Amino acid sequence: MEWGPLLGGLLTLAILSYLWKENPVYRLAEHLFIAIATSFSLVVNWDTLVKPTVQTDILKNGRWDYALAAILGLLIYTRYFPKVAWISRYPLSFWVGYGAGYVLSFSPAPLIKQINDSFIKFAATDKAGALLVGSTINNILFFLMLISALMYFFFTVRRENPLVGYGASFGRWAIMIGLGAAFGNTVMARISLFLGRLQFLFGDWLHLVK
Amino acid sequence: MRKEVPMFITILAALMIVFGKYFFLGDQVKVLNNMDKYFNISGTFALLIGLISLTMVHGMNIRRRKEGWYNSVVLLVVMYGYLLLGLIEGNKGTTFRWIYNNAFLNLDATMFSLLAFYIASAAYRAFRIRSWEATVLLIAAFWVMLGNIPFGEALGPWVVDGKDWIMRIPNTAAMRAIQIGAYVGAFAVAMRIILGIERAHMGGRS
Repeated sequence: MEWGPLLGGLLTLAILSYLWKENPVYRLAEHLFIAIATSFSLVVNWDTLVKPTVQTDILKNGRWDYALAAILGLLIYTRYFPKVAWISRYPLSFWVGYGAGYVLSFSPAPLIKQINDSFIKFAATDKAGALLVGSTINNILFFLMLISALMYFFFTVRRENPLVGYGASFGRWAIMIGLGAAFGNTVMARISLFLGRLQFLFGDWLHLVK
Repeated sequence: MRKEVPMFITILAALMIVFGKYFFLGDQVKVLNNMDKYFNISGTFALLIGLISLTMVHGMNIRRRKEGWYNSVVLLVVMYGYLLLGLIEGNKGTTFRWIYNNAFLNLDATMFSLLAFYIASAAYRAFRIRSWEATVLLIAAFWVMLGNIPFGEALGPWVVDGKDWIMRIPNTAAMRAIQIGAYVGAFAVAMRIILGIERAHMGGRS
């Protein structure tokens, strides 16, 4: 008997039992999931980041500035001691500042590219220069939908203005179609995952299908 | 010390990234590389906080004999046992990987596959609202799904063409508008942080 597929099959059934109702078997599998996920991420980080940093970077290569970064990270644990809990703001501030710096430095480039790519030429032509009616209509529709969807997010302009009001209303329809498409793709992805689980159960585990 | 130093650290970290990205000298002394490394190291050394929090919460469940406390016992035993095994064997260890491949991967995939059913029930609830917007959302979703499966292709090329049109025109326009909005929002928050207006991360009001 193969023990791996047996364990995997039983755990899969335990999670799927939630479809019937919440039950003790599901709760147990859920707790196992959290336990394994936590320890796995800790072990991987220990092996790939902590050990090489301490052994190679700090002790061997003498990068003592890395030790300061490690100490900064360790300061987060002061939050468990109420009297000195305020010290945990130091690493948190560093992480927030790092994130803010990255947003300021790296987000303008893709943003400008997105805006640049949105201002397309309306009239689409083929190589001979003849107007392609379908593509032209699509280009105009795309531009109108983008501008109107942006108008929907204008919260500083009153909707009484008919241009903003009707524009935002049209934008909401565009957003609904976009969200619908995203919803459809998500359902497809989840169902293919579920089919994968059924293939595992009836194929790899029970060998009922090839 | 309690407010000023964290504020200074925040601003300094943000400015160092900006300096590393936009200034020649910053590029020469590899400020970005060093900042990335500091961020990764400090974040990694803070990872134990998850383990400590789980231990505290589930330890409390066991002490107070809360409903389902035996699950907390299992969680703590498996978590520390698996951690110990990983520290002894390393993350490439045979037993460590066997548990990961046969237990974790199956649990993970099944947990996410469950969402298929909850998304379906969400669709049903959206349809019960009976508004035009909800109807348009569901028609778009249905069309995209139909256009992605062989049955849709069998119905005729118009199904796939329609799906492609939805993805290329309204979907791209709407998602781009949302992304531009998100970028502008993130930029504004980053500016507020750098200027010291946003202080929520220090536990106070901004």
